Amino acid sequence: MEKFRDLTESFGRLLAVLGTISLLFIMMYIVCSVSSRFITGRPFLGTFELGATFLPLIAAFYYVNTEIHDRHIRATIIYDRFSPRVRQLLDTMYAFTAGIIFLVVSWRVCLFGIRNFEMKAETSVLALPSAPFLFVYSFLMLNFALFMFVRGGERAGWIASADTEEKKA
Amino acid sequence: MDPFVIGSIVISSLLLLILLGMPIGIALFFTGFIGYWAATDLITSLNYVTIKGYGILNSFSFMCIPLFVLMGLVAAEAGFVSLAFDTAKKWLSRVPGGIAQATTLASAFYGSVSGSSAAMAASMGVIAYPEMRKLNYHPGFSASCIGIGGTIGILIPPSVPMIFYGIIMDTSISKLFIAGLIPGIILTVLLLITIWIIVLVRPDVVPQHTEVSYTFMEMIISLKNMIPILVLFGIVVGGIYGGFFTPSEAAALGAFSAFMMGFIVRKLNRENIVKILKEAGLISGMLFMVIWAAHILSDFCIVSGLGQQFGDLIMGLGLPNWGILVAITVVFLILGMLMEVNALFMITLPIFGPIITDLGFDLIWFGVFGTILAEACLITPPVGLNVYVLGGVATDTTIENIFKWILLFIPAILILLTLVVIFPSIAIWLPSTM
Amino acid sequence: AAAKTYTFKIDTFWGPEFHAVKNSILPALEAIEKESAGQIEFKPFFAQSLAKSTEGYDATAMGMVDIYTLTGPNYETGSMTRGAIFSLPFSLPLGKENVKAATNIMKQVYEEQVIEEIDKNIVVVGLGVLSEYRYMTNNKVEKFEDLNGMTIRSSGGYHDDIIRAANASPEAMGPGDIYEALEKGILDGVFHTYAAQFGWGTFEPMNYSTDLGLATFPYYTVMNKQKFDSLPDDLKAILLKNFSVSGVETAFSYYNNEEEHFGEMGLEEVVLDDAVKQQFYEATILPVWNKWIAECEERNIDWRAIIKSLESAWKANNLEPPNTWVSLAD
Ligand code: NA
Ligand code: NA
Repeated sequence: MEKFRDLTESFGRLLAVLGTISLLFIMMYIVCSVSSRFITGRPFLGTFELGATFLPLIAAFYYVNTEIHDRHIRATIIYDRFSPRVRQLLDTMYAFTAGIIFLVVSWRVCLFGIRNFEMKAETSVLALPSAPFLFVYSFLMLNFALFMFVRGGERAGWIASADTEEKKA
Repeated sequence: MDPFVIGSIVISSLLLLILLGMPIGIALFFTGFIGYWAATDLITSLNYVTIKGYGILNSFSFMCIPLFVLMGLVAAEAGFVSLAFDTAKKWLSRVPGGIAQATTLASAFYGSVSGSSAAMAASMGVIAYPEMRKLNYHPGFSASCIGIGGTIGILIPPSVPMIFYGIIMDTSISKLFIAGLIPGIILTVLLLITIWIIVLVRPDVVPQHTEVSYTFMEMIISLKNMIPILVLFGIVVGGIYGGFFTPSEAAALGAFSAFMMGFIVRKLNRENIVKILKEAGLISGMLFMVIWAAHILSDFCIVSGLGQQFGDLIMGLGLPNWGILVAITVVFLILGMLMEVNALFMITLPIFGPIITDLGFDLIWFGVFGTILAEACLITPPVGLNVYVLGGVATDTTIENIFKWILLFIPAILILLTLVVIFPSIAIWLPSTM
Repeated sequence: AAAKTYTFKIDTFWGPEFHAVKNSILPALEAIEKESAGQIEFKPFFAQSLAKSTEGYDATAMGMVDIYTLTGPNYETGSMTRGAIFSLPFSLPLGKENVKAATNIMKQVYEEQVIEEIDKNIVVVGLGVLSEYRYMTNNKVEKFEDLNGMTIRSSGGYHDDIIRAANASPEAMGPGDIYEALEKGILDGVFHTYAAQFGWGTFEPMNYSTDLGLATFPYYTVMNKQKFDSLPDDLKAILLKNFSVSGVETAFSYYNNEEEHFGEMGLEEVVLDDAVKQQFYEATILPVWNKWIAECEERNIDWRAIIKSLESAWKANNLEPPNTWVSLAD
């Protein structure tokens, strides 16, 4: 189980790298479009559409890594006053709730992907097929859901916790 | 079920879950989804997730958020920000809280390039927060100065909420933009005054006077340290106003230019580039989760018919004109506690727009009025996007603490609101000259 | 006994103050509520507040929204390939005098050729057109060559191809950026309706309007099929009748709004002589239609039959269809 947990963490970091590559790609696409418009008078087609289409993926690429580093935002004013036992219980609940939520999102977005695939739906400017983006997004949601279940198991004490120095880094 | 009943249940469960330490994104989604379910049915709410699970973030207007964050991080890591703060420190060493005021002022200028409050708050957060902390400014106070500075951005053109308003109310977007300028400047002044008062009452939140005093010559020489940040800012502002790119494209150009400048002055290496990219990813993951989930809660508010309910309630009271205006303000503030800005406009404007028109108010004026109220919505708990943003960026303080400090700026917003009601020409004089 | 009541959520691209909402959508809703003696009630939502215009088609099919009024090209890619013929240059007669004919033509072709591709969970309860899409520019467009190298704001879809056929670059800019972009020369013009530019207040930096209607956009009112089928026949008829009227009224609202406000927009109208117009048509119509044909072939759609249907619909309305596209099917 611990091996599996380590694997999910490494995979989460890899996804964050993909997110950054996508972000830099969009940045460069916009920069090149603006430059092209300035130099040749012709912007690249579909800058706005490309950015919009990639944005959900960029966000989803980052979710696991943000969770690994405990950077998903929360208020701890009352939480901090609870005993470690209560906190453990709450944290376990939160992780499983998140797991269920993202499982539902993954399932529904996958259905939407199938619908788009069957309709051969495309974006309106660049005619990018919509289905692959939805499937990737659905996969990322599934991955995040699984990660949160592992987290839940870790917090419940069923899986040994990965409280190593890298977490504090 | 009655919208008020569902609404009250949803808001109290949200508050409870947030206070119990549930991650805010999860709490927003959970309560928003359950609310949507209660307002419609299970199948409809699942189909809602089918479309909006991906669809909410499928919008170019969010793209500026990670890119402005990236720009801020590069500027900070390349040392441009420390240099600028060093100059500010020398010039403002005798002014208690001077750096806080300078940061708010910088936010106002920054507002002229970005129309998104969250993007500005996040970007200014990574730029200014660490420097303010280095100078021993109080964490919550520092974060709140940056967070409130971010709200000026939606009043000073360009402004995403005003574009929304223009489309919903079929009102000239360009006139709205111009109309926001003077109120934006007045707000900036009011915020500076607020900071001054806070510092008078609580001198402990700012660093004490240093014994070191700087000569005039030192101050003049230090101005050269402002050059990098001014060049970067000049590229972005000059690019927009010189007609090289649009405000929507500015964030990409800003981030790219920051990288280029960092390379030119040889302040970027493998190590700190990795650090920048990693931090940009962490902040983006945090922000998008909350933004995504905040929209889900907002969509619940829309579908539940809360807006209509409030509209009927107000019209049923038989109030005079000013009474209706006060009532609308109260409703905006109540709904604004729960919703992000664009959704707030979507739910309130279709109901209040016609009422306002019937009462003979100017729609451009009401656009400014609504945008000022929207600023309050960005900082009021439990759903205060700017506070969440700062909470994510400022890792050594808590969102409760930021909420506590930032609410001190609410009077400034209410004063501006009152001024705009008493002297409508603050808002409508400039557009009338167009 | 009290009759059963039906409540429907309706959403639209436009805001509540938009002229077409006031003149065509809201009156239709009121008429339906009245004629059904309150059995049908609407919960109107505006400005894409339940679903974005790009999501309206799917949202209706899935029952997230009961009724949605769709405009713009977004729903066409994937959802409607056959129906995209209505966005092609000169597929429909333009001008206020042709609003009724254009709507009838659309209706006929829709029944004969388009309906089969509509999602099985959707009923089109009303359809129509908007006003003409024209070039509104900073610099004068008098000749076909004048558009060469210009950057033109486009609504996407086949309108991109119309602009590209004139050697200009389409740019999909949001309404908030248009004004500044025109003022600073990032944009040289827009391909749009007067009504929308007036509404957004983006017309001020523009100087000229070229009198060259090339295309319009189809406009559909779609309804979730289960919700529609839940109605008894008499209520269905009331709904269909009024949304059908609304389809025509939307176009009239556009044209009337333009007549009322064109003067205020301060645009100099560039009137082209027929030879120049012809040059525009020939340069624009074929490439765009060919692209649509290619799209149809990719999806195994009998595009010839659709063109034939369109041709006969023009003739049924006593209009002569442009030979440019008629000859494509021969
Ligand atoms: Na701004
Ligand atoms: Na709020």
